[in-house]
Amino acid sequence: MVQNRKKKTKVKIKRRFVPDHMIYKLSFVFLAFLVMLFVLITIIYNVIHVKGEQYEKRVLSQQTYVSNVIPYRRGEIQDRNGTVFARSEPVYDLIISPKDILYKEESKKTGKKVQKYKELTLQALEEYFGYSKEEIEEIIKERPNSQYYRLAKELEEEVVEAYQEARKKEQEAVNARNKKKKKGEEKEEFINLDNCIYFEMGYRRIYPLKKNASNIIGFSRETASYGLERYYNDKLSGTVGRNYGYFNAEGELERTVKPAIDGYTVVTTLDANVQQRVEKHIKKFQEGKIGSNRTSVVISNPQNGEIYAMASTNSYDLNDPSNLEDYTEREITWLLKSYYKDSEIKAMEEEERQAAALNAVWRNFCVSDAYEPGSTFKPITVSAVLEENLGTDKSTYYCDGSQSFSNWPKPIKCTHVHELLTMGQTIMFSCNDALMQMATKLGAKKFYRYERLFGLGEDTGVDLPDEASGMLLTVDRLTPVDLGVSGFGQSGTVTMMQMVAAFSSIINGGNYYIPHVMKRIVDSNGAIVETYPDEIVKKTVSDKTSQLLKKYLYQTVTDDNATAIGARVKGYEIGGKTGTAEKHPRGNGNYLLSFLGYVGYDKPQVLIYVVIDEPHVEEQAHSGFATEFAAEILKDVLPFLGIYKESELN
Amino acid sequence: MATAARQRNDQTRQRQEQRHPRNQRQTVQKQQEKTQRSYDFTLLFLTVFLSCFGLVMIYSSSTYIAETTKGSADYFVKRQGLAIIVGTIAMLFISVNFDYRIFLKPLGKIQFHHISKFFPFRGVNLAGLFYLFAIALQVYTLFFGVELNGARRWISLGPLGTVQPSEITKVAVIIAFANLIYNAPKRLNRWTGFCLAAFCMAPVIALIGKENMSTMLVIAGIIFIMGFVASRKKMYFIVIGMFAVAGAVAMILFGWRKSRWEIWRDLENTTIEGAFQIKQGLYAIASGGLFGTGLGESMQKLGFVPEAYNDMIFTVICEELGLVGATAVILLFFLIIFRIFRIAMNTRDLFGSLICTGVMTHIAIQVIMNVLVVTNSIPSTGIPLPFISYGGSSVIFLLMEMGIVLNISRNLGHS
Repeated sequence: MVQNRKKKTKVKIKRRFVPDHMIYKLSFVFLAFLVMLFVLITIIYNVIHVKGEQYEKRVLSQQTYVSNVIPYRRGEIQDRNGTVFARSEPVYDLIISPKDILYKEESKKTGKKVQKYKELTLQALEEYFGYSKEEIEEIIKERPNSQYYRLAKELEEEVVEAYQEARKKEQEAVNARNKKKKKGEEKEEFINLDNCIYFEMGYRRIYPLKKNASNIIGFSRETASYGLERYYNDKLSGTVGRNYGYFNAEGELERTVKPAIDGYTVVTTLDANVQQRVEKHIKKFQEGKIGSNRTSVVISNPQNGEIYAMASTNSYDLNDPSNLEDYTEREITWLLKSYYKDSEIKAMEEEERQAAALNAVWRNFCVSDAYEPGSTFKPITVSAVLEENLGTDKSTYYCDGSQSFSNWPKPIKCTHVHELLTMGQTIMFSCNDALMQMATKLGAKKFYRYERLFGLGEDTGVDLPDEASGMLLTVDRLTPVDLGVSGFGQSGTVTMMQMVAAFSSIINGGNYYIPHVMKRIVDSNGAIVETYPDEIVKKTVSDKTSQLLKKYLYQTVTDDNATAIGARVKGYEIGGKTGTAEKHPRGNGNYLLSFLGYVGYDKPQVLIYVVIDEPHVEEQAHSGFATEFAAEILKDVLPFLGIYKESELN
Repeated sequence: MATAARQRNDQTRQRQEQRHPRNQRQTVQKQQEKTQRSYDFTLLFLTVFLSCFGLVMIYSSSTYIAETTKGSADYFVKRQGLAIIVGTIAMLFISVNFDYRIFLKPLGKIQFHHISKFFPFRGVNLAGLFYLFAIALQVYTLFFGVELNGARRWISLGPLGTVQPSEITKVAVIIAFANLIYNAPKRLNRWTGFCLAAFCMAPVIALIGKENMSTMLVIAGIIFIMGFVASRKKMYFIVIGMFAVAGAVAMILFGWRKSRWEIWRDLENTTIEGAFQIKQGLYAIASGGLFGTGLGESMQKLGFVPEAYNDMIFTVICEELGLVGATAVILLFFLIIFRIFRIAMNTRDLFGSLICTGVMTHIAIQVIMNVLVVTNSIPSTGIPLPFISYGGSSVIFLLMEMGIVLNISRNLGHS
C-alpha cells in the first residue's frame, strides 16, 4: 500500500548532472563573451577618440541650423511714471556660411560650374558691414566647409535693417526689370544670399539713465549681480524658446517653434525726476565748498513705505559698471578703508584691490551698511518713554552739562548746559544729558525691547539685496553707560532703511511699513502680475505719542533757537531731527552728520533722510551741513512729488 | 478487549497521521532554509538596478519626443515603468513560488518513443507545449498581427496595448531546446540526432526570420550556443558557422537588404534614408567624450537620433555619460552574465544549466549586437539593449527569464 502511494504522488523525472565537457565549453563561451564585451569598449573608445572631434563638430554645426535657442527679452525696470531705468534691446550676431558662399552651381548658359554667391556676398559685407574683401576671403579660405562662422557680435538693429532693406529693394528691382522684358527674352535671376549671410538675434541690456539710480537698479552678469536686477531676477527673466528641427519617419525635417516667453517688467516706486535731482544735488554738494567722503539721501513716503529716491555718492555707469575712471585715488582709498582694515588693504594685490574697489562702488550704502545714527535716534527713545508712561509731555529734565555713570571714569558730556528742559525741548535742543536720563529710566530690558519694536537689529525686508541688519547691544551687554549713550544713538548701529521705517512709523501714527522699491510687476502685455502689498506690519507707538513727537520734530525745525532751523523751506511745513554721531575711533574728530525729517504736518507726505559721512571741513560736528543740504533738495524735489507750497495753494 | 485494542490502534494511527504531515512540513522548511541561502540576491539586485537605470535613460531620451509627438513628456517612462513593475513581480514570483523543473513534467501517459524511437520527444510536457504555443503565436502574428513601421511583429491585446510574440518565443526556445537536450543529452553527439534537433528548432527560425531578421539572429545564436555547449562534437558547429558566413555573403551578393550593407560600408557619403539614424547615433557617441555632457544634456536626442529611447538608447547613454558611463553599463551587463554563468556552472541539474546558458547567451548576444549596430560595426538591424531599451514585452519576458535563473540559483552546490 505504501509503495502504491509513492508511485502516485512522486513525479519521476530522471535527474541528470552537468557533464564535464559542458563545463569546459560553457567556460569557453563565457570567455568569448567577455572578450566581445571588452572589444565593445574599445570600439566605443575608438569612435570617441578617433572620430570624436570630427563628429562633435558635426553635432554643433547641425545644431545651429536645425535646433537653436530663441532668446527671451528681459523685463524692463521702470520708475513710477513709466520712465525706463533698464531695458533690453534686440541686437544681431552676423553669421556667414563659407560653404554656401563657395557653393558652385552649374550655369545654364555655359554648363560650367560657377561660384555665383561669392562675389555678391563679399560686396554686401563690405558695403553694409565694413569688412574688406581680403579679410573675408581669408576667413573663408581657412574654413571652406563651415556653415557657421560668427563674423560680428551685437550689431545694432539699424545696421541689419539697412542691409535687409537693400536686399529687398534689389529683389523688387529685379522683378520689375523681368516684368518689362518681352517674352522669350532671358529673365534675370535674383540671387538670394540668405544662406550665405544671416543673423542671430539676441538682446543687450541698456540703461538709458546711465548713472542714475545705479545702486538701486544694479546689473546682472555672470560674475556679479547687484540691485533690483538681482533681487527681481526671477521675475525679469523669461523662458527661452526653441526652434526645433525634428526628423520624422520619412527623414523630412519638421520644424516646431516653441516661442520665448519674455520677462516681467518691474515698475518701481522710484521717481526718476526726483532721483535725478537728488543725485544732482549730491554731486553739487560734493563738488562745492564742503564736500564729504560720502553723502547718501533717501526720500520716501512715510504713509506706505514707498521709496521715491535713494542715492549715494558711489554711483557708477550701469552700462559700463567696471569703469572706475570717475573715481579719484583718494575716493577709492576712503571707500576701501570703510570696508577693510589698513593691513588688509596693504596685503591686496592690484587685481584684488581693483575687485574690492568695484564691490565697494557697486554696494548700496543705504541698504548694506550700518553705522551709529547719533541724535536722529532720539525720537525713538522719547517715544519709548512716552509709551511706557515714564514721562509725559509736561515732564521736565535738568541738564547740568554732563552725566556720570558708575564704572565709567569720565562723565559723558552734553553739547551745552541746557538747564531745565521740557520733554519737547529735549528733542528741540538735542540734549544728550536728558536722553541719557530717559534711557537709564527705561532700563536695559525695555530699551532693547523698543529698539526691536522699531525694527532695529534686524532686516527691514526691503526688496533690495545684501541688506545689513546692524548691531545692537543685547540686554545683558547694555551696561549703564552703554544704555545711556544708546539713548542718543551711539554704540548700536543701524541702517538707513531701518531709520526710515522706524521714523515713518513715529510720524504716521505708529504704522510700521516695510520700505520698498517695487510697486508692481506687469507682464509683457501690461497685465499686472503682482502688486506690492502695502500692509501694516506692526504698530510701534500710539497715535497720541505720534502726535507729540510730530509736534516736537516740527518745533525742532521751526523754533528759532532749535537745532534744525537750517532745514526750513519757505512755504512748507517741515519737521525733523538732526544727528551728529562721533565715529569710531572716538576722539579723531570724524563725524557722521544726518538729518531725518518730514514734510506736511497733518499728514506727512514725504520723508527725507540725509547722511553726510565725514564732511571735508576742519570742524565736522556741525549738523547744519545736513539740514541745509536737506532743505535744498526738498525745495527742488517737492513740486515733482505733487506737493506745492502752502502759499501757492492758497 | 478487542474494542479497546482497536481504539488504541486508532489513536496511534491518528497520532501517526498527525505527525506525518508535520514531519513533512519540517523537511520542507529545512530544504527552504538550505535553498534560500543560495538564492542569488546579487543577480536580483543587478537586474532591478539595470532596469531602473534603463528607466532613467528612457526618461532622459524620450521626453522631447514624447512631448512633441505624444503630448506628454512621461508617456514612455510611465509605460516602461509599469512593464518593469509587472516584470519584477513576475520575476520574484517565478523565482520563489515555482520549480523550474515543472517544465519537464510529462503530461498524460502518451509516450512517443514507443511509437517510433526517432521521435525527438518522449512525451508531451510543459516545455513542449510552451514551444508549440509560441509557434502558434508566431503563425497568428504572420496573418493577424498588427503592422507597425512596415513590419508585422505585434499582437494587439485590445486595451492592454500590443505584445511582441517574438519575445515570448525567445523564452520558449530556451526552455524547449534545454528540454530537448535534457531528454537525450547524447543525441547531439550523433549526426542524425543533431539534424533531428535542428529540424525541431527550424520552424521557429523560419517563422521569425520572415518578419524579424534581427530576432531570428538572436534566436539562432541562442540555439547555436546551447547546442555547442551541450554537444561533444565541435565539427558540426564549425560547419554550421561556415554555412552562416556563406549565407551572409550570399545575402550581400544577391542584394537582399542591400541598403543596410551599403550604409555600413560607406556611411559618410551614402544618401540612403536609414543612414541618417546611424550617423546621428555615431555623432551622439562621439560628442559624449570621456565623461559625457551630463545626464539629461544630450542634444542628439532632440529629434536627431530617431526613437532615441529604443534601439538607439545606448548612443544617448554614451552622449550623456560618456565613455565612462558606457563602460560602466557594459560592466553591469558583464556582471549579470557572470552571475548567470556562475549559476550554470554550479547547478547540479543539466536542465537548469542549459536554461542558464540560454539566458546568458540571450543577454550577451543582444548587448553585443546592439552596441555593434550603434557603432556601425555591423550592418544595422534593430535589436534592443536588454533591460534598458524601451519595450514592454522585451523587459517583462527578460525579467521572467531572470526569474527562472534565480529559481535555478536556489539549488546550487553539491549535497
